[in-house]
Amino acid sequence: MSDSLTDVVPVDRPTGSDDRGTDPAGAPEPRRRGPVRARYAVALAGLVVLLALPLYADAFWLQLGLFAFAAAVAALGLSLLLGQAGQLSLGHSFFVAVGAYGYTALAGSSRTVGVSRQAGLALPPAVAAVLAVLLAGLAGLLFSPIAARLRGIYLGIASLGLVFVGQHVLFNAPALTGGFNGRNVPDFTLLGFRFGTSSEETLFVLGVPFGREEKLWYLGVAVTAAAYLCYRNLVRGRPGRALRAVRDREAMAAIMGVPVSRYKGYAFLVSSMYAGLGGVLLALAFGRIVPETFGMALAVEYLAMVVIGGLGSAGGAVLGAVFVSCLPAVLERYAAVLPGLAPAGSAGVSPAVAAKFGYGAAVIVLLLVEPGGAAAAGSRLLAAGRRFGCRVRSRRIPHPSQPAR
Amino acid sequence: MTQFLQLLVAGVSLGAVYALLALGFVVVFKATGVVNFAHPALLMVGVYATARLRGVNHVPFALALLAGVGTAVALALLVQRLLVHPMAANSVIAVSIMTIGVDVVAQTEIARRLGADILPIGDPWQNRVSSVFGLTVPQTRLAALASGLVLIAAFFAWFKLSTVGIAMRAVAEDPETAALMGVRRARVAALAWLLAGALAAVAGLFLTVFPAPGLEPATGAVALRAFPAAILGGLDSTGGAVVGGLVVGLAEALSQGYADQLSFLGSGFHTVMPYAVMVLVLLVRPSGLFGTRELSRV
Amino acid sequence: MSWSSTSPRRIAALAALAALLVAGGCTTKKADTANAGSSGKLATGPGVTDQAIKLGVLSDRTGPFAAAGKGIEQGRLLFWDERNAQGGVCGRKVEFVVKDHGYNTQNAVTAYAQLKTGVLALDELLGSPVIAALQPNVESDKMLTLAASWSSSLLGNPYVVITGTTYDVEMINGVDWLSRNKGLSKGDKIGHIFLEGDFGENAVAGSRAATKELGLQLVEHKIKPTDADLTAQVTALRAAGAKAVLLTTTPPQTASAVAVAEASGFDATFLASFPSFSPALLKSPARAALEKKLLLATSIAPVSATSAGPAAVRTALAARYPDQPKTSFVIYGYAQGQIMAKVLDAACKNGALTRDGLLTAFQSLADVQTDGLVAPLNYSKPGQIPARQTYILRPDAGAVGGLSQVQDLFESTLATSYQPTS
Repeated sequence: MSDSLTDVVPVDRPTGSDDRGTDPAGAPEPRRRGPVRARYAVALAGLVVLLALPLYADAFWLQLGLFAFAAAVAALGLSLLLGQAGQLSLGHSFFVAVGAYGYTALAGSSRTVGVSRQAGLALPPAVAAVLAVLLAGLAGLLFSPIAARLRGIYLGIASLGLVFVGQHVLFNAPALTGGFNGRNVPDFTLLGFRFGTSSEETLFVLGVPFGREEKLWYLGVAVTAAAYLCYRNLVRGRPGRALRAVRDREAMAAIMGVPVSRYKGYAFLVSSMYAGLGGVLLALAFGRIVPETFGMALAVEYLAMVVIGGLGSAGGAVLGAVFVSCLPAVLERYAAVLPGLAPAGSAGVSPAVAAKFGYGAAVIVLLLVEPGGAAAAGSRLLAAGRRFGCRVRSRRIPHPSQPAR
Repeated sequence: MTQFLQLLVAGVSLGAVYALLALGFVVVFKATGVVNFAHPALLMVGVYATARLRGVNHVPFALALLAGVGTAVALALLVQRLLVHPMAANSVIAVSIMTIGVDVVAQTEIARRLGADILPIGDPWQNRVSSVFGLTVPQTRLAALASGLVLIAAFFAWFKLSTVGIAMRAVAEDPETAALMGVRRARVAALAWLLAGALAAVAGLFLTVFPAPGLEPATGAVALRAFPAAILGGLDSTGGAVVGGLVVGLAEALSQGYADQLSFLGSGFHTVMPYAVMVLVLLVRPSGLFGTRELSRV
Repeated sequence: MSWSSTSPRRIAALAALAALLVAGGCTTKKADTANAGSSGKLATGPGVTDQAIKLGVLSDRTGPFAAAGKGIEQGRLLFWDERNAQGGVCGRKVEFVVKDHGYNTQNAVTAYAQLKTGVLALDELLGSPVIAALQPNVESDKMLTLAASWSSSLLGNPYVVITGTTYDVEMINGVDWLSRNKGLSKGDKIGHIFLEGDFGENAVAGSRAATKELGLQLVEHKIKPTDADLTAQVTALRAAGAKAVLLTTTPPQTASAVAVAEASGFDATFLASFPSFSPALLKSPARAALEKKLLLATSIAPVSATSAGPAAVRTALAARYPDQPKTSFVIYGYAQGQIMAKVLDAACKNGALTRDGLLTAFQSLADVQTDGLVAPLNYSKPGQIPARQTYILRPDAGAVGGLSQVQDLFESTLATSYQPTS
């Protein structure tokens, strides 16, 4: 039974694919080829849909998708930190802000806006993005000694303090951040290709004009896919095992020779880099960032994403990110079709209020039904499917010891 | 000097309110391990009930307050029974995130009912002030201090001396052994949530009386200020919550009052101050001021 | 088909099929050249059909500023329901597509993305951080936007419409009035408690300019929206000997500050910016203190004003929303309706009901009279403050809308020559 906030994986929950049981020798269980092929087919189909989407979807879905990609990358980082390493950090939005503002300041140019001066290094955007990610990682690394001294919920709230201090700096350093008015985010360019809407010539793909959102969509898909694969590799390999050892039995891990502080620092470094990358994507998705965005509400949102998705699971982190970042907007868009809602301006349940109710109820119901999150629900469904498949197959080849069903 | 004393009094009385908030929050964490994100919602519901009964039905204040506390307690028990208890066997972090959903639903409903109104509470102290040692102190603040002291003292007496209180402490310390000794964990959890609701309603009352004009949707956001207070003292220490609340109240009042002198830290530093204090404290004592130091056994 | 027999060839075949479907272009979104069209001699833009003109509303309906959003909506409906009944604009009814962002910047940007292709202009954009985040979009989409903000930081965007004076001019006129009527002399101190963000920073820019000009000393206190208790700030200002205190705060914070001052015997006069007051405050125990000590500097007429515009609004309010609090935001929403109607009418007359046409029409409005709802506005000089006259009002529980007039519209000499620096 788990009673502590950091005992995040209950013993009898079906584990996600990233937490696969290992034999004592350390090699993963041999997988059967069928379901793996099926998985690849599904993934490929999904990828085709994603790649084709900008040809069909309007600006609302594209914009929403960009936010979802940014959230997914950041959520992967938090899933690593919380799910794999067991470090409860509520300060994720701070590292996201470092990535977002880092990219904006590094890629932006110095100019004078009225009386105030804005500083920027005018680096090539690709370089600025990489540096911003590294900067976020550095921030994480610097925070980790503090984190090493703290346990559980204390670490969580101390990291929350980081968010408030960070927001304070964002508001009070207008030369870097533009202050409360915000700062424009420079368009991303890679090898001469600009991910922006050009007024001179429009890129046409299959008859569809590709503007900033469409181009950024593909960047988002690529970055998220890379982040996802990187996460899975990490988690399946040695660092993943070490992190899980630190999470489950820290003292035992230390005895077995796992350098605990170093791995905790590593966890913070990598998760902050993921957060920074998510921040860069978020900045690009916005086009102009303001300090209000990077507050406690966002930090709690990331936590909700990884829990709703299923702690430690890569697919879960992405699903949770999509759920938390997209559902409120989607509900708000379609709430007006519900009958019996009062018009805005009068007392009564307006579509906006109904949308909020819907979101809160969805969070409650989802976690009530499956506290392990979407990943656990998925595993349960898959396991049920496999049992069903086994039962079907076993009809053809009855085992001597089992009665024919 | 007068300014300092005035700020001190303001800080201590604000701290008393924060202490009540933190206490309610800590009780739930101690008994169930859940971070209750719906605490602001309990506060809003309780104060809303009190304010409406006073304003619309003209119920006497004491009765209205009791009814408000009762409403908050009812909501807390409802959440605990219907939502938390079925999930009790699973990860507490999932329960904590679920309380966010509860918070969204409850606060949206209260905000919808409030609309553009700012509901006065109709308390007996109104805007009267008293003179204490030459300082003018609003009577509501004195009431907050007094109620805080009484409630906290009563709570500790009950916690340390009564059977149920001991049972709760037992569950917090070692749930399995307590269960073996016959303590019903479900009952203890329900009791903890009940207390949280009651404390939230009372704390909310003092957040919405003079000098505040009344209850409005943003009041819930102020309740979040209690979080650092709770942690400062050690999340599993009820005494720590009280001290933490006082420290946070004082730090806020003093840094607001001397904002001019502190302007080099950036304006608006007083919001960051509690967290800065908290991080410093945690660096020195990683389990908070009074929290139990964890001993790792292999 | 059993999954276990899926072969690489099958996967490749599926992928190729999918790619073919996509390449075949089954109903991809075709390039719509900015929804351009024309009906007869009239050029039309997005959101314009033969029957209707669609305008977008991106407001806060569930977040901290829901009260303002609600008041503006009431004003909008009061004006446009009447106008649509009279035939609308350009032979078309004006309809609104309403989105709530709940004061969340991500939701706002997403909702805007949804709105932008289907509406001709934005009839309301509420929330300082939201406006800040959407500034580049509004400009690149050429979307005329009635922003529910009076910050002079928005003047640089030609598509943003500010209905009234800016916060800094409010404060300048206010400080000027205080110095003439409340006996402030050179060297006296006044305090300014202001919110972090666009609202407060812009107001304090005005008070800084005014106090510098008049030889007064300014003591500043920056606060956050979640600061419910302003006792510490008021105590500090009293200790500093401030004779007057400016407030650029939320309405509950205003009440808190004034009530504390009154209770502790602090004799200063308080002067607040427009959004810092709400008539709901007059139902609280702070009523007496507010009526005694508080003044308001604003270019929006009070609901109780005697001119034609406010009178019409009062009648319409009593008929339609008799039980709702009558806030000045209703006057504001109604006035914005008048301004938008004027813009649409002018664009219609020019034969260009397009985004560019709306901008041209907007910038042709040199003297906008709103029947006394708002100070006279001049939009013909892009980048300039559209109005520089303010009322001085005081809370009055006996007046409809809770405010009565102390000083009619006036413009101080400093306000006339003031240029915002940021």
